Amino acid sequence: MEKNLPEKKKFNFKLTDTIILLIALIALVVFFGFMNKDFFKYDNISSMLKNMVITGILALGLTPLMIARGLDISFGASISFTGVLMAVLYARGTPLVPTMIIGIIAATLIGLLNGFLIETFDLLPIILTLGTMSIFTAIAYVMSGAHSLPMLTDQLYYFATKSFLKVPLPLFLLILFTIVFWFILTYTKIGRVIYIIGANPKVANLSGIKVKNVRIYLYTFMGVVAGVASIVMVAITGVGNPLAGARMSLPVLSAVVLGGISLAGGAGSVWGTTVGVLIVTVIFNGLSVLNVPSYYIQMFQGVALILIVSLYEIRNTRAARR
Amino acid sequence: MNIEKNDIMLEMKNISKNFPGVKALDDVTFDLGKGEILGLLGENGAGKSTLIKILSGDYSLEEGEIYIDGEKKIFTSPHESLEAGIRVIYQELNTFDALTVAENIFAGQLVRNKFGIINWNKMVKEARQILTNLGSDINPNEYMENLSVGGKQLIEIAKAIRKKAKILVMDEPTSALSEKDVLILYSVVRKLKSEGVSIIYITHRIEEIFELTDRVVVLRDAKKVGEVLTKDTSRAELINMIVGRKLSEQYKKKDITKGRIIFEVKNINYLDKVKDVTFSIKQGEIVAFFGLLGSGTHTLFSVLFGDKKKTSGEICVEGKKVDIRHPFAAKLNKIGYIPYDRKEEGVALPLKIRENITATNLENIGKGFMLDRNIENKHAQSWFEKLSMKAPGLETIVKSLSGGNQQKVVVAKWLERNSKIFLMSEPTRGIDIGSKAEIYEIAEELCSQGAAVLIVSGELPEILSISDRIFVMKDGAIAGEFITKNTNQEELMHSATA
Repeated sequence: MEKNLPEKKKFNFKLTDTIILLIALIALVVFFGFMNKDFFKYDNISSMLKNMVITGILALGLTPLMIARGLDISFGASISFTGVLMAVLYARGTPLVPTMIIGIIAATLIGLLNGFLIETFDLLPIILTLGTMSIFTAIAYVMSGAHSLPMLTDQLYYFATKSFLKVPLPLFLLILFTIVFWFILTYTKIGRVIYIIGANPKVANLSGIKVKNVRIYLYTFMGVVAGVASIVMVAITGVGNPLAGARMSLPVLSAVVLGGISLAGGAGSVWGTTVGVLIVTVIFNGLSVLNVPSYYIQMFQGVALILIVSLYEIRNTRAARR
Repeated sequence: MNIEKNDIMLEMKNISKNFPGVKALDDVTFDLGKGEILGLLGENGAGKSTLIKILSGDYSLEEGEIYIDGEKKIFTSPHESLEAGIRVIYQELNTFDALTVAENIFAGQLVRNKFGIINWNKMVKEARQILTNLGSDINPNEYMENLSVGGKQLIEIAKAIRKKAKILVMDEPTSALSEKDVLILYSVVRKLKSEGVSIIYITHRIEEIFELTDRVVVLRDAKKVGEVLTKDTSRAELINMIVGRKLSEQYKKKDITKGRIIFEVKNINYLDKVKDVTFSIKQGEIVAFFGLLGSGTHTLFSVLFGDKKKTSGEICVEGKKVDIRHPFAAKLNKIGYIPYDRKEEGVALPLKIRENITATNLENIGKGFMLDRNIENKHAQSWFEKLSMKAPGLETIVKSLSGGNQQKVVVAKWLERNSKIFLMSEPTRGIDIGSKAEIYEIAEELCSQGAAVLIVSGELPEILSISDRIFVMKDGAIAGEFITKNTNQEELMHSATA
């Protein structure tokens, strides 16, 4: 009776979201390259890619969480707090490796706290993480006395500045993250569970999936990711800065939304997120190379975010009518 | 049929509609007289919904013509259909429960004075007028959430006819109503008819056809297969047209040997919704729970499956006491659940058939963390075939399936998990006759393999034909236990209402 399914693959070319985004990305690259020759210089590309690492890691961490209809906007505060914490510990003579481990544990606990509170009390994720965001930003300020605390170590400096085959070392970390997240979401049971929860949490629950537990894991994992991002941040900047994380919220959330993750959950993929990160990075870097003042860049990013969300919404409404 | 040309309100001529890979409508032609009630019958997937969505402007018209009052119309949006006097009341009600009755009736077009400020008094007065015309004494200031399903339905009707409606389409309006509300609905429909409104009435309950309609159009496999005056036809003839094959009208129950007691429930309580419920069920048994709206039957099932936490009581599976605090625990104890709200709780609509079927059993599909697509395909494919699902394949998105096939996917989820105790909440709600019989067959097949099936159903003929035993519930408690072959509709109804 059982037929072995011949996996019929259709080769008809479809204009998927990711392809549209790729085209937009290429168009942007060509545009900025045309406007300023410096854009294509090795130094610029290498620094652009390095800057992309933190945005990318965070956006990847958010991807499964948001597919499962969770949301965390406290990652910026988590980065600031962890960075300051590590700088303080290191300044008091804690060796580098324990410092980094404590940093990651601290960030993980923030994620766990977020997840536990949201899922136990059925809170709105955006509100709860807004709360933890302000709490940990404040703690970071108090701990640092509102100053950047230096944390220069040979190992982190090496990691942040050296290249292998002309590829900056931090970029390897991002590539590793991308592969791991893609693998998890595509080939593992937890990946499937995440998509089922995203499609309909109630159905997932009534299928005997522990939706709340899964989400708590995802929030906790987002904490781990923020911890790693914080270490990369300290490595690249050489300081634990209480302001460091706040700047990350807009580009990271823009990248994720651009990549096709709806704030209502359910949809999204690692490739979408990756392209989203690339686009956000290219826009930021491209405008910087053109000497556009940073406040204007920020304004432009905000406008772009609103545009993207509206376009997706209009398209979804159209699709629903078909 | 023989209607004078100028008495025709609506004509739909040679309507065809294609979806990728499926012909949803094939050259369907019918008309609707002024003040006529036309019954539209057909199995799920026969094309009824598609036809209505073309009329309502939700789908674009590809082939064919629509005439309203003799005038050719092309609807490019639902708005234009509304403008033309067409109102559709869907099976799933779209009410705003946190708002008042009056606000619901005037939703979107609140009554305002010339300064753009809402004129509450006028709005409430007009709402009361509309409701009185419908023969209802519902208070316009009442909050929607306090209304029964029947009451909400009435508000939907009030909303639909607030502005002059020429054509009213009702899609299975009685599927969730209590007997009393059904009678009120009938009188409202008749009243609208007497005022000259033309009505297309879609239902699966053939009794309603004889109760209400003047004429019947039957669709099957996207084509119109029959059109008769109601007074000239019979139940048997209609069923024959719907399914296209001879089907004994009443489902004949097979005799299945009963085994050991598999499921015991002792003194279960849940707040004041379920009171001291005790029963036990043997392998091979189909036990029905019957009760009117609010009797606690559905809540009981949610509690047994761990979706709601019981306040007190004990549950035993195969003689062992089990602690069911979450559906996950129910699943581990071989309990499967087919929820009442299929589209919101049973299947994940945006996912594929394959992904839905294996959702209950991911632990066993592949080693460790890895999901094994080969095993998954094999499992899903075997249920796909055993339950003879009608779909292009495993990769079909569940949203595009008919109700009956979606229900099969829900059943398959629990078969995949090797469940032995099936809790089925209205498993045949909104499902066509052919699929209903298939669901009954599946239930019996499960029983003959040593499972036990518990069914909540509001349809007495269904309960009487499928079950071995019947528990009647009232106000959260069991009001009576009956052996199916020794009882009848009247006795059960008496027990439920006494």
